[in-house]
Amino acid sequence: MSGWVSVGEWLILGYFIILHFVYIGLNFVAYASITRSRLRRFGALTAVDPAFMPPVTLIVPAYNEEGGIVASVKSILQLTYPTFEVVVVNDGSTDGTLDRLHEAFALAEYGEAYRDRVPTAPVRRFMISRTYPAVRVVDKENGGKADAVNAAVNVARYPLFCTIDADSVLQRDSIQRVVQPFLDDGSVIASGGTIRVINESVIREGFLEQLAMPSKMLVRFQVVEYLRAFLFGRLGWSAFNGLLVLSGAFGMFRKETVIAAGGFRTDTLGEDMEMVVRLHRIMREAKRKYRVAYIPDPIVFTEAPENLRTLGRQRIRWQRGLGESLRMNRGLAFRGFPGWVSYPFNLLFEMYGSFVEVLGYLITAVAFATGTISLSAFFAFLLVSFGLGLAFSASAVVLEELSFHVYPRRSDLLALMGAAVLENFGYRQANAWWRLIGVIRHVRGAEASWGVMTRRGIASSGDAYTRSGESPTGVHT
Amino acid sequence: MVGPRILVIEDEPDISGMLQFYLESEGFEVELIITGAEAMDRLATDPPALVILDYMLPHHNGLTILRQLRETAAWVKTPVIMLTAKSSEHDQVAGFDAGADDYVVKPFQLDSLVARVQRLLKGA
Amino acid sequence: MFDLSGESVIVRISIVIGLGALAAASVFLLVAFALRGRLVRQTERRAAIEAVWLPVMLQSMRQEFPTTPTLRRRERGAVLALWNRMTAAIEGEAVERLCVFADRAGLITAARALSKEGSGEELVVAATFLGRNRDAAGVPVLLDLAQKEPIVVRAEAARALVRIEPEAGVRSVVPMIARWEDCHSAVAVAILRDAPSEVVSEVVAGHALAAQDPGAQARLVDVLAIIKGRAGHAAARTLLDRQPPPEVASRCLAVLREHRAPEDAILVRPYLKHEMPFVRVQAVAALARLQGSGDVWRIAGCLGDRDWWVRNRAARAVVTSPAIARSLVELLASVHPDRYARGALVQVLGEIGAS
Repeated sequence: MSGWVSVGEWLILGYFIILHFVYIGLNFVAYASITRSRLRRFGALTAVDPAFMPPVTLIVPAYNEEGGIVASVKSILQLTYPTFEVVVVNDGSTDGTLDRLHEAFALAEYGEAYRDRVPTAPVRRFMISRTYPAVRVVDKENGGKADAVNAAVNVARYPLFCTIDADSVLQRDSIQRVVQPFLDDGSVIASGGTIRVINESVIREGFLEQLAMPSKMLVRFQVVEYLRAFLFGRLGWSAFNGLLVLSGAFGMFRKETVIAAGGFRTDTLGEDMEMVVRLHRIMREAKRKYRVAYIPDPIVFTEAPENLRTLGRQRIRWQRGLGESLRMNRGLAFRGFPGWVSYPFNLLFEMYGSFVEVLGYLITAVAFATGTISLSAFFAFLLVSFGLGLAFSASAVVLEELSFHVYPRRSDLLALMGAAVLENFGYRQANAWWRLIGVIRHVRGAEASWGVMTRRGIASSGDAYTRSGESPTGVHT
Repeated sequence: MVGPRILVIEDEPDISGMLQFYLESEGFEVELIITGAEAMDRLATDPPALVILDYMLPHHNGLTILRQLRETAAWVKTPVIMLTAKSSEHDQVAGFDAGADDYVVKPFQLDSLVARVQRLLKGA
Repeated sequence: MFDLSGESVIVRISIVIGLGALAAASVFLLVAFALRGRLVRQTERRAAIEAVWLPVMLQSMRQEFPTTPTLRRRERGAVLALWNRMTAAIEGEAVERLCVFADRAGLITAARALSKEGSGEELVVAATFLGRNRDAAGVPVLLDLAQKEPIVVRAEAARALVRIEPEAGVRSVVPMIARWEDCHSAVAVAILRDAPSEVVSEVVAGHALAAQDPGAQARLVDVLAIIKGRAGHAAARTLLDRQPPPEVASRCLAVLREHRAPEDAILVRPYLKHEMPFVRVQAVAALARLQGSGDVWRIAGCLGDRDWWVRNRAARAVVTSPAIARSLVELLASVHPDRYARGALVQVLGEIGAS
């Protein structure tokens, strides 16, 4: 028994040491790049002539969205950007989504010379707005979100595109910011920004008016978690072009690259995540120069789950999405920085690390209960896990203060810190647990569908698309 | 003695500050407003003699305000000058379609803006 | 406290790490608060500075020269930024007076000093300021700034140089732009916007013709398409004659498209058959704008192109051309022997809102 415990102890210790070394490294890199990005932000928006901002296609996939689709398209039309078009895809909705669009935008059917450069479920018709010529609607049979986005990619006129969830709130200059990396570096194939939690904030006409610190503790935990994941997780990885997970809620992609890669996969829970990992793999395999860019600017705001059930489901889905993305792109392993560092790290720590984590909690608890380890040892372990978790959260708060300080009041800062302390008691454990369930389902699901060929046009299950396909994985302590 | 009241709907404090200073020293009464919603409130409670409206407002497109203004009988005749960045001619056309009486493109000459205000108020 | 002598190494290490991490966390928290405190103080300080300087600047615009406050060293950045913001949206006499004020209040001297020793953001502020003031004595420091990193600082310094001495500025800045690989065309145009377009056109055209690197050449020709001038037009014609690399050719075609000279058609026509689709697209677009008689039918010949975009552009040109009656286009859309050509025409007719 005690031999087992000690093996377990060493395993867990080793796991934590490596994990935290990586985090500390990411942290240092994040500090370095946040100061650089500040200056860039300061000058970038004034120093560019609109005549050359690349035109972009904004894709709005809609499945049974009759309630919000018109408002959401109208707020998209208010974005400030020189040239953009909006392609709404009605993915076989069974409600009045299409009727609402008809009423609001005076749609007229036209005969698109359609190229299915990415195969999708059958398209029924193409419509263009007579009042807003930049708005087009693709009406197609149901095929799921990824399939809907693919259909829009097929009709997109512009070189860059970005998918916008109907429920995400943007800044007026969001497009400009997320396009900036494409201007700075010609080899950029995808870019994304920071997602922030918007619960309880004041939104008017689809835009954020006043960001509020959410009152629910569960949501505050997520605020801290997002800070960690984005400000030092992603910033750190992107410095080495090793970012495997981009913000799906508002990621800008180079269209031709995505088409060449075959479009979004319809058989995964995290199609945006999978796309980024696949782009890494394809570019590495082809030995092409490329960059997946990340800007720390807060450009998308999204509603975080407010109860445990929804949150749990979301986390399980993210975990499965991550697992699928990694499994579908094994070829990335051991190619360049993403292959040698990001891929194994994501696989061992973000993905299967949840085993070690839950095991760690269990072993410690069992060993303590059976008297195998002393009280002081028990507290020592708690101290380490608590201390490190707090240190990284606090560090993320510092990064936030260095860069964006989006929460205006000093008391908000206190609230953030309070959440950073409290999340150690229950929230982090729950997260580890959900991630473990996600891993188990992923492994089971993979066995069940082993050998089943990629099917096209699988009907999406249930109601509107599962939202927030976005995962802030990257830092989960 | 206070002259006609002008409502300035502009989110950049530097610009609105300059406008206020300039117009006030020409004898106008000036009220500064930042958001579209606020603007609609003020228009309803205390209609001004003239409106200077920024095209790019936070959370509210200047054109939307202009359309609302023109759709309300009481304000149909209120002169409106639109302020806009120099980016596109298309915007300018849209502004006139929606019923702006005049159009000033940033960067603009303060003296000429004041002259336009005076001309519009004389015409009204 | 604890007697750790009997504990395993792991436990002792854990305690050390745990306490260390807690200590680090506390330091971070303190730092976060300190940063927030600094931010609040900065905001207050800036507000206080503006409360003093804004009214004075406003008055100076009305020619009632007020007594100028003394400029303290640490206020420089904030005051210059305020001045920059005020002059951003206006032009004309008011700006002239603000420039006079800037000189009297010692802002120009301050900006020159700041552009030697400031932080990144201050460098940008100082460069903008010197440019708007057309401060000829600021040229040497701006030339230094134009060597610095990152591109934001260089670009702002370059823009200021162009503002101060349009001709000489353009001559010194354009070679830099040709060298700067990280200077996107959008930034290049923003730098050169304030100079007279004929000057920009002439200088940029000269460098475009002489450029060896196709990337730099393409960037320069990009500028010629936006800042229009005779020299740029001539350069694009010369380059097209030389069979340039495709990325340069497509941009030269864009320049011709902007100039709408019917006699250019003869240069454009051969490019309808270029091997790269993005060159053919530009050729169709250019030819459609030039509107030479008979060229509509040449464009119609591209309706069956193997590239979707070429067909689309050709269809757009055919549908919108005044030379072909709408009824004829509609007929063509139903009887054209090539189904791709029919598709392209039907689409454009539908998009534009046929009949």
